[in-house]
Amino acid sequence: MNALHLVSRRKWAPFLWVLPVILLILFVYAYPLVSILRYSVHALQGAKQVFVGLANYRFVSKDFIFWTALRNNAILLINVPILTVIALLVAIPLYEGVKGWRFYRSVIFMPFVLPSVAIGLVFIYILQQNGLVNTVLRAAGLGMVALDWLGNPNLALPTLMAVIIWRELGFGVVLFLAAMTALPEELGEAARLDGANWFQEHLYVTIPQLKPVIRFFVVNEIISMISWVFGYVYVITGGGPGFATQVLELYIWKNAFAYRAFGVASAVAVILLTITLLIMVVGLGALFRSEEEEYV
Amino acid sequence: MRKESRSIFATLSLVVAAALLVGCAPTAAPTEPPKPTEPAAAVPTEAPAAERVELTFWFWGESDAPGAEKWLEETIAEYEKLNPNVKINMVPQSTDTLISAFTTAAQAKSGPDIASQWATIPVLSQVWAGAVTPISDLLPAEEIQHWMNTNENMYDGKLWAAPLYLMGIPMAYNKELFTKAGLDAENPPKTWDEFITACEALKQVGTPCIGAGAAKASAFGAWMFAILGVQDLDSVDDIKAAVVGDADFNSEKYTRWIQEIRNMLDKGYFNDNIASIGMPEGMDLFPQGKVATAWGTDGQMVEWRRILGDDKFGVMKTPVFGKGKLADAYNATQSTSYFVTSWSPHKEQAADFIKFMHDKGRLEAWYKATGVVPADDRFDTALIDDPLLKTLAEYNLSPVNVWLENFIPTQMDMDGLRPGGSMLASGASAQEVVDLIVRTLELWRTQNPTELETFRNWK
Repeated sequence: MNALHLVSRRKWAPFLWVLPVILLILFVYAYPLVSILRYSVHALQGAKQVFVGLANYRFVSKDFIFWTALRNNAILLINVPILTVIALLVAIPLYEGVKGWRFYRSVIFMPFVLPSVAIGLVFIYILQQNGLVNTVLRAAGLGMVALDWLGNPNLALPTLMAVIIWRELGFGVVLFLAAMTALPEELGEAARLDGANWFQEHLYVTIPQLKPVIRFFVVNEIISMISWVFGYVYVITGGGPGFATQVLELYIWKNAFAYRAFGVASAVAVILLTITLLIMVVGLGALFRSEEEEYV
Repeated sequence: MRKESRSIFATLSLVVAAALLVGCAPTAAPTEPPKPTEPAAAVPTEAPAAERVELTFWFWGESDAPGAEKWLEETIAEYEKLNPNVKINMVPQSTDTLISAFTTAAQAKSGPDIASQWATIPVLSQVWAGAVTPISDLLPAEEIQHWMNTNENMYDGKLWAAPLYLMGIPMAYNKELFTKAGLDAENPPKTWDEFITACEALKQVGTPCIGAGAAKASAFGAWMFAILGVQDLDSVDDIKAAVVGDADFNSEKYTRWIQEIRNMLDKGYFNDNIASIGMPEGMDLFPQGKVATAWGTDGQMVEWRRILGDDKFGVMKTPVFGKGKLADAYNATQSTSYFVTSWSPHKEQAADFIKFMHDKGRLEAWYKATGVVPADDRFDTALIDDPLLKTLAEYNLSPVNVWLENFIPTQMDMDGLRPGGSMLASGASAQEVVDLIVRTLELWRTQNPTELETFRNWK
């Protein structure tokens, strides 16, 4: 009996075999996390990292740009219910096999596979003051609604939100469509036999069955709105006009790479991570609870 | 049990031994071991060669002066021919990571022997971090005295980085549009009142006076600060005083330019889409003939003249706006500067190469390659036969040159001036922008006590 055989027979042997992967995972996930935590209580003074306790967090708490960014991220969350409702409204007719549904599905999903940077560049030209949208509006005699979509501080964030909805919609539609195809058809038929109209059938039969998928989508989109919008903001508005579209990711980037304030950037990254983790814990917790209830 | 333990130990020992063997293996390309049969006579008998020196140069400049990298390659080749023991590796740097990449290298104390950073604060930040060797300690004063705009990188009585070229921000004007508005195209405005009169005349014929863009954190606000704001100051010490809080940024001396931009925006002297486009797109309206004037770099002037032709293209200095002693100063800056790192094992050799970049022949080659005037008084301006380039060179070689953006903390620029510029374009009042800049400076002082102290001592 060779040594490998002997090791394999030990109770702890499986742990030994997965040890390299565990170490790799620790290196990939734990090391950056620990580093960010460490940086968040240090500041670069000269070429040295000096321990400053919670000074970076105190600075952030006094920085109006941070609060503006946080507020904007919170406003972006309005996108989540809008996205969910529109995605459901689009997915249901496609599920019902409306003529050309495969084509529509591809068209709706297409923006999701495009890089956000490319989307941003295109929308800059479409939405600027003398861009495509306003040119068409003026040509149609609607010059009074040809607004400065990106240059007006009151419109820039809603415009950005619309672009994000346009891109993210495809993901929701495809996700819901995939879930719907797995639903048993009998329940819908039974509802129709009982006299339910189209609206009632989907509201009381289809959508309740999609709850786990909807919850997953909602959690996913909440995380996206908080920590995955940098590409859009950086390319389309750069956080402006002024700070009208400033978000936390841009704040982190600017502090880290423009000001070399890695401590401040790390402190905000820790705050962002905490917010995201809380949402995941609450959101995913609810998701798992609901799944358990369904299987009981 | 003991047998099992021994077996496990043997297995683990094998694994550890293998890991050690792998870990000890050379990571670089393996060098051939000396052949044991080679006789001792194989050792070279001629005089020992000079010490082999390998320098790494992190270079940035191509964005400012297209042709710069090719010129540097040629310069390196010539230098290596003259110094066969020296090998120089040029590593082009990207604009986006110029500061962050070097900062990372400086923390690790490894990387380039010669590096590039934008003049003044980006250079001096690295000086204050202990990453730079003063070039004035490595090269004689008789060499340095030929370099121009050295005041941009002076600290603690020492010069820390070398210039290579000068770039200014002149103002282009469209002669045809000026004539159409009843203006004298051969005598562009020299004073601010004349300029405002010209803008009004242009507006009357439906032509926006100035092309600019303030969206996407563009440099609009920073440029206006550097071009107009400087003119109300008596020296760069005035802005340093406001930065450290010894002078009130709210005073008219520092803010009159902001109110003036507000007035000009209100009167419709800028293109109507200034709030929704970036600075480059705003400037591009000029060669399209859509605006009558635009600020731009020397390189853009050359390009715009090519597009519009000599009959339409004209160039002028920014009309005098200010009331300070710097009202007549021009805005040329060395833009980027080159320095020897504090950790380089070959500081003298690195400095010698920087000196070679200023060799008369190399300066002429630089001008031919880029069309940008070198920052060295040994460059013979008689070599410039193009009237536009001659004019630009005259501007750049003005007795007083200040690019005010070089003398402020990055936060004031990125969180104050740039968003402030876009806020102005979007309709904010001048006071809102002033408040933003003041608040940004207060935050910077709180967050950066060390840098604040350095600013205070910066003479």
